Amino acid sequence: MLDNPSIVIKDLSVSYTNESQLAIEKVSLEIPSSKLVGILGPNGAGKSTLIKAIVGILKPNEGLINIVDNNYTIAYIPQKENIDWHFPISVMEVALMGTYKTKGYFGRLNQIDKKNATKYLAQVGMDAYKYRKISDLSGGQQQRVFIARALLQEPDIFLLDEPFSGVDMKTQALIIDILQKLASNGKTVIIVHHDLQTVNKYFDWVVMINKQVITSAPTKVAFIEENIQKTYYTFQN
Amino acid sequence: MLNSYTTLIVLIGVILLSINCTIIGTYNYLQKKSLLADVVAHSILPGICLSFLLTQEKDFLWLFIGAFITGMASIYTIDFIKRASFLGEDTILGIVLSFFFGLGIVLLTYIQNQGFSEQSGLDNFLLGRAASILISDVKIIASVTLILVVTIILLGRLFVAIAFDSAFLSQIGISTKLIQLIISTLTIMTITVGIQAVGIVLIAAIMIIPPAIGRLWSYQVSRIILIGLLASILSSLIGVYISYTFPRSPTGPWIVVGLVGCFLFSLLFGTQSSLKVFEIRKI
Repeated sequence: MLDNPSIVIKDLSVSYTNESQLAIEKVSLEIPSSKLVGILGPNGAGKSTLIKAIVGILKPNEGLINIVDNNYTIAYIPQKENIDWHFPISVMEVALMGTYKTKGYFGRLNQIDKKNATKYLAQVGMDAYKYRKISDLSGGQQQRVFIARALLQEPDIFLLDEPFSGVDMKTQALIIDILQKLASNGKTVIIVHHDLQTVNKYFDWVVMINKQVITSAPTKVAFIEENIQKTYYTFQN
Repeated sequence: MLNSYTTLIVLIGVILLSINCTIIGTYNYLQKKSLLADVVAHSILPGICLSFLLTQEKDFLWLFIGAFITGMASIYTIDFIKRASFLGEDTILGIVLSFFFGLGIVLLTYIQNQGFSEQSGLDNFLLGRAASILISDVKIIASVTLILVVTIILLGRLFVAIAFDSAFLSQIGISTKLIQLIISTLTIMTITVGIQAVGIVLIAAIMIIPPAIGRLWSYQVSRIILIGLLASILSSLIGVYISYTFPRSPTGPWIVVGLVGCFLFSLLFGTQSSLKVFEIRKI
């Protein structure tokens, strides 16, 4: 048991959309707060499914997801492939979506919202681009705009689905820097991650899954050869 | 040509319904559901015929209720087949469109053979007859314009958000089903009041082409709508003018011809078009 978990998951099973086959099976784990947490596993291991279930986009077949502090709010940053980058929308408009939760159905956007959006865009170094269309941005810039949208929601938990795919190392470092600051300010940051080379450098804690949980522990303890073998090279039934 | 009162009524009616089609058409375009509007337009025919058969009068409210039922049925049928099969969207749209339209034609033929006293004008629904627009029709079309404008002012940002990132909306607790239902209802409403003038077969064109024109000039939704409105109003003027200059020349098809002209122009010269024949340099 952790002293200060922010999310506790018990016996969670979730199936793929429109299919009966389970994407994750009887997953139980605790995710610590104030840490940068990496979720690792091969393709089809259920990484995205797990965080989509935590966000509430996918309904679990069984099991419990307990966000320990009831007042905690979650911001989710989707996989780049799920976004149409030719959609006619500007950087500012994407960031402003971060206010929609508090605005509800009929709230109007005002100058304060725009000021806030500009502030958070500046925090990720994107304020100079605020009137550009999103199709003009590079992969890393697009990712930073979505982080700004998440920051505007002022959440306690950040969930990012493969934010580094197609992003160069320099931009990765910039994004990790932003996320590390969030973690040190008490936020929980959970990232679905692909590249094993950077695990030691980026994460305080790793969850390794392949349909089931292989390990969930501090990076130094968990990210060892034995667990990598179990996660990536053993078939799970 | 504007010296005649009836012509003015027709012109106002056609312009207002082009405005309606352009506004709601833009949000369907953003959701990549342009073709769905065409399916819905064809699918409301059996609904309209059924409510005529039941009430034996052409009261807008009853016609709308009938149109709403079969229009929504077509949308849900598409969703159902999509979930139940691996068929591509184009195939499913084709099947559903022909089924509902075929059913509508069967009912329409039945009505025409029965010789109801009130039936005259129902056949206008197929190809449309702008000249048949009365002041009472204009009032109904204008009410829909008002409903559309108010809804867009209130919910426009959510209509954009559902098209851009619907998972985000559900995650922050906004019902995407409700938003989708509102968009579908507005689409069916727009089509129902518009088909008398431009016809089932072509009304979708006035929903599909203007946003495409707008998109070739801008990436901002508000400007896409404004430019689309400009094109559709211009084309309405052309359509009404030609059909009055050459009697028996139908209005709807001429509006569409005008729109296609605007579209080709935009494809060649639009600032967002990849062709951009003459690039205007920023000075």
